[in-house]
Amino acid sequence: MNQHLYGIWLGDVFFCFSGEASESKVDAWTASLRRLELAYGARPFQQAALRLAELRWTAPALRGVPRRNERKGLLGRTLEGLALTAEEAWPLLLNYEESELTAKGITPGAEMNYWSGAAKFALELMLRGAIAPSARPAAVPGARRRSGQLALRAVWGPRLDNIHDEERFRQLASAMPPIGLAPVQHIAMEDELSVEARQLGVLHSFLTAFIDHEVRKTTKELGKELNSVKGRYRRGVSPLTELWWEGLLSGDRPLDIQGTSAEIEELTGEISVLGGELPSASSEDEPAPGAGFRLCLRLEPPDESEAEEPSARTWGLSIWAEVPEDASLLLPAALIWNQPNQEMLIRGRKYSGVQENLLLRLAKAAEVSPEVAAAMNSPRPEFAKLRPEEVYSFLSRSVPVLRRHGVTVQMPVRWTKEGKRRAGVRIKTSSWDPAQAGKGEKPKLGVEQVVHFEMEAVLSGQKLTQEELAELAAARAPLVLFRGEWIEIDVKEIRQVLRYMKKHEQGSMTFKELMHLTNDTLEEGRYEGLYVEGVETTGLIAALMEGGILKNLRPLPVPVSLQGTLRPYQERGYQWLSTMKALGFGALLADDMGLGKTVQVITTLLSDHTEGTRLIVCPTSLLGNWQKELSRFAPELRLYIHHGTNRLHGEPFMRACQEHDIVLTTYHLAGRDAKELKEAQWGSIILDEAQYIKNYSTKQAQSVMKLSAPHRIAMTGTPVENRLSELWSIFQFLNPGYLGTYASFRKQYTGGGEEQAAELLRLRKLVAPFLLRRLKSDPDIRKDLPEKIEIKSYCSLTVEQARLYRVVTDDLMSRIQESTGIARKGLVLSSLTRLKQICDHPSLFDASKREGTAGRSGKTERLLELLDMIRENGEAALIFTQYVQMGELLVKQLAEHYNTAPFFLHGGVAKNDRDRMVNLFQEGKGPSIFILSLKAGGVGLNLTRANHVIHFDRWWNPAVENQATDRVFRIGQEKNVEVHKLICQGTLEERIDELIERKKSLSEQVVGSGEQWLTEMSSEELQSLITLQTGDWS
Amino acid sequence: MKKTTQQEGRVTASEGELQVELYVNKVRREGDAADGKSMSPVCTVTFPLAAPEAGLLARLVNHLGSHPLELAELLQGGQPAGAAALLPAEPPWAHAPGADGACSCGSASCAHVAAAAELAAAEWTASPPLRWAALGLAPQRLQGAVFAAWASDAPAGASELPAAAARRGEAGSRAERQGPGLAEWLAEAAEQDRLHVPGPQFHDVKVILTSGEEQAEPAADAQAWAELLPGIPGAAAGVRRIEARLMERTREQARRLAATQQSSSS
Repeated sequence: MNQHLYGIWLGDVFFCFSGEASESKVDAWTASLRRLELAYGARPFQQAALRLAELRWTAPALRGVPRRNERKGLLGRTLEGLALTAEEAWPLLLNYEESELTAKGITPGAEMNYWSGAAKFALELMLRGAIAPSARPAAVPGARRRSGQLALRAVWGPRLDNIHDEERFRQLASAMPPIGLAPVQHIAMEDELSVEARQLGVLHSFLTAFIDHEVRKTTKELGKELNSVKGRYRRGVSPLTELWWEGLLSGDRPLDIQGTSAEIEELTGEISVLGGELPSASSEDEPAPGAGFRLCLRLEPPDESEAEEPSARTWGLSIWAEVPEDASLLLPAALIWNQPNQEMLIRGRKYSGVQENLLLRLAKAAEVSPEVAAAMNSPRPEFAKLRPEEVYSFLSRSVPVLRRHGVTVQMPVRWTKEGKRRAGVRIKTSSWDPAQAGKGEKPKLGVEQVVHFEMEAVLSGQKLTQEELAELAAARAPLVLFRGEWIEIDVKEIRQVLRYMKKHEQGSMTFKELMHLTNDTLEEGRYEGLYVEGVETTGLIAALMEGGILKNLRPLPVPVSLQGTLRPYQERGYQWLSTMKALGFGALLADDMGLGKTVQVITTLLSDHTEGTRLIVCPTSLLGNWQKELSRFAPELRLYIHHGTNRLHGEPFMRACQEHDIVLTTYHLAGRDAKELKEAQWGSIILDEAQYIKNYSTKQAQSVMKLSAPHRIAMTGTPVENRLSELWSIFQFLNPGYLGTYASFRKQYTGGGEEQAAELLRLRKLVAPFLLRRLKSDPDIRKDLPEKIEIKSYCSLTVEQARLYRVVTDDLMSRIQESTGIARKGLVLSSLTRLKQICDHPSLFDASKREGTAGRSGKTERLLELLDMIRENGEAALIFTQYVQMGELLVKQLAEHYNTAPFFLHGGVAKNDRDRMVNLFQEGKGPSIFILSLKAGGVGLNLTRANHVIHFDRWWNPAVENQATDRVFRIGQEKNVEVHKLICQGTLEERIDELIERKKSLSEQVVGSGEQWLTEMSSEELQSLITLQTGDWS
Repeated sequence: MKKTTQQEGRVTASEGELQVELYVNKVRREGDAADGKSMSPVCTVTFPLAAPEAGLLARLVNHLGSHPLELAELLQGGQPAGAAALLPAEPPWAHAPGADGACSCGSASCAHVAAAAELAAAEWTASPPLRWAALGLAPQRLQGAVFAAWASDAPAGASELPAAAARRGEAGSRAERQGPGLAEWLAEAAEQDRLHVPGPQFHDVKVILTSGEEQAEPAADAQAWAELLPGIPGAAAGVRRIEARLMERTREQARRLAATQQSSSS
């Protein structure tokens, strides 16, 4: 892989960097440079210090498009690189050979040649002893800075009073590559310096550093020989010049001279007579000197009308003067020869000796290019004619040499800015028929399934016929006439395509390879080493990849055994799940909360329930839910719940698996009973709330990964698009290997920074075919949703709750026989109330134990899970409870859990406070959770911000409940509302709920407006109502 | 047979005159300052130079104008054969040696004039630059004439700069002098893909690292040092010592560098 090596002078060090911004790339670059050994026998970067430099640099372009705001000016960026001292950089630059680095896989910037040349210039000066002592500003230690003190350091620098030396110095300075001025300097008056002045300053500083270094080595070598000339500086007595002199001889011990600005100025003036001064830039009044022209040669294709046969037409080579400050400004040679004087003013710069300049450049070019020499046989050289065979020789032999000597050579293609055309292949896949898929080979291969395709050769997006391809491959020069225009091609690339196409016009790859290939960036998308210009897909594959699959599904009828009706979008979801199954893909159903993921999955389970036992893994708190829903929608499926201390192991377990259609267990047990679960044969595995395995390293996740089945589904309600980087485990479960290894995934997608946005976009495209996510807010979905969605959440009692519950029921049943009339009614009501309270939280019943920990109540645990989800979606919720105490408990618990206390409105709250809370809530300020403990009324309470209503406990009068609900559901409510009802499984809550459901379809009067109807039940009815039926959830 | 010159001298031409400086034979006199020259001129003989024939300049300009490569060669200190062939074979000073030469020693018909004429004739043959100089045909002058001739071929108004070049005249240069201009200047360079590319003059700068003879040590300016550091009388000598040692060290470096480059190119 080619790494870049750029180098600039920072004033004290030679800073080498890669131009990369991503930390991992910089680290890799640094590591490989440290190992770099060069022919002159050293590793220049081995000990180099890491350094951050602020440079004006281009930001990494997103897919090749430069950023808009950078047209105005490059901004400062901090880049990391290696800083070489003069000691380290000196041999590197003197021995610098570009070809040596390229051979080692490093692409150095062209400026490295420049710095090497400048270093050699320094060497030449030293060879002739053309040095002069001088001084440069130094930093004043902090404490002194305020007092107006300045500091200098004595240095040895170049002496440029020889006119030849000064001229070359100025030429070098003006030829400095622009990158040399990229470092951002924070010095006073920085803004006022011209480009020319900066170039002179940087080059002078560069030369001084190396010369100073070498001279100091020399003084060290001379050692005692210099003792006789060393002064003895005495502060206050000796003049500052003697201190400066000492600094010159101090070897590698730096010695700074501090003084007032007047003293420093005087010193600077005195030592300037020794000739070490920086040559000055041109003043503001004069136009800046132009840096001379660059020679530009343009290859002109022949006129087609000239001759029939392309090989008989003559080409032209035209001569231009390129203005270095603006490469787009080209002056035709004729213009130069036409000048009556030898000076021109171009873009505010004065160019002297323009004709001589151009002439000498042409003469130099003529030395290496016979074609240019041929143009020089007549006055005012402007043009040369080339025969076609000469064109080839020019292109292959002369052009590279000319370019190395700083001559611009333009091909006709440059005029259209298209440059070299890329040759590659386009891949056209054949389609899949989902009806075919699934039949035939087992096991289903999922993403390893094979996709067949045809290939065609393309050039810059245009398809090539076989003849054209052969013709291009036979070209002897990179410039060819193709479909009427001259283009530049890479002949090697074309031949590679031809060779490949001859052998295979058709091929196959896996779906996984296809997905990755399509989503790879321009450079990386290669197939068998060929550049893939595009991938065309049709039919099902196209729908899968582009995400339009929902529209392309074959309508599959809903199984008749489903006890219920699917909403239209749920039907589509079911069909999607089935299609994915037929194709062998693992599927991630990520519909929004409340849209009914469970019922969609259950429908799928019904449609193929002859295919072996299915395993459902879910969080413990959802076991009850699954059981309820399965019995409601698919009663004919035989269910075994693998949970609790009495669960089966060994042989009985295996038998139970075989004899049941569905096995339901928890993540916790998937970890504990991993071995047994692994040994069983599963037809499919379904993960509910799949984010439970997002952390790959947990035991649960690892155990789940080890389970195998030909068919997999994962469900989650969390907003997946915000958490793409957490998807690896889930996808590893669904389609193993699709997203590569965990390590490479982490590296690629969790790096952070600007490149990450592009990477995440790719990731999204990669996972898109396997993900179905619909939002409540989608207009398509909303119309299918009732305005109120009722969701029942079944919770379990904790051990403590179950014990207390039994105590109360036993007590009631033992006393009820003897009581009658009003006493009986009172007994029933009070007992039922107590039972309700126990279901809420034990401390409501037993005031002595007032700790309100969530762990004591199954409902509270479930509530927290619900609220987590609601808050993550950015939504708001109302919680209704009949008991003020429960409300207070919840306030405490939620405050602890979320670090912010929810609003709490109950009968005891003053009107002002009530209004304040309601307003804050509606405006979106403050907490997103509002607890209400009101029996009735509260006229004028508008809480439409919330779109979730949670009934923590129930009124057994639907009318009252609805009224509470409707507080949220009023005019002004724009969202669909979810009404959650928490029901303790196995308790009276569950039974009463069933009763109400049954009687709802009849008349409300049966249930009555209060709860009196409960008291009119017989003792037997009562008993069956309240007896705790546990499913051994503990 | 060409007579070997026993007389040493220096021949220069300028301002319509040919000057021949004659030196005594090489005898190193004791007490001479060690500044490399072991000769001192005895006397100077001058010959007047005749102006070149009228058509010569025109012929040369025509020739060089049609052979730009030769003009380039001339400008770089070379001796283009074709142009040189146009020069007269005979020196432009008096035909007969001895005629009209004036010697600085003042004595009439001293032997110096003859010797000087001989020396001059030999130099004329041996040194092409002398020929051009003697004919008053300095390269700059020729260049000017050639370019003027070329420009005169231009149609009227064809020397106007295109608008793009004339545009952004003063404002551009002023903008480049100000700070924010730097950021834009860099952005433009980046956009044109020349952020890393040295300017054309980079290839013009010739650095010579191999010197045939030992370089003469430059004399550190003793007076300047004495004035600067009155309290350190040996400063100038110290600097000279440093410079000398530096030159030795860097010579060694340059030798090693040349050796490495030779071995890598072989």
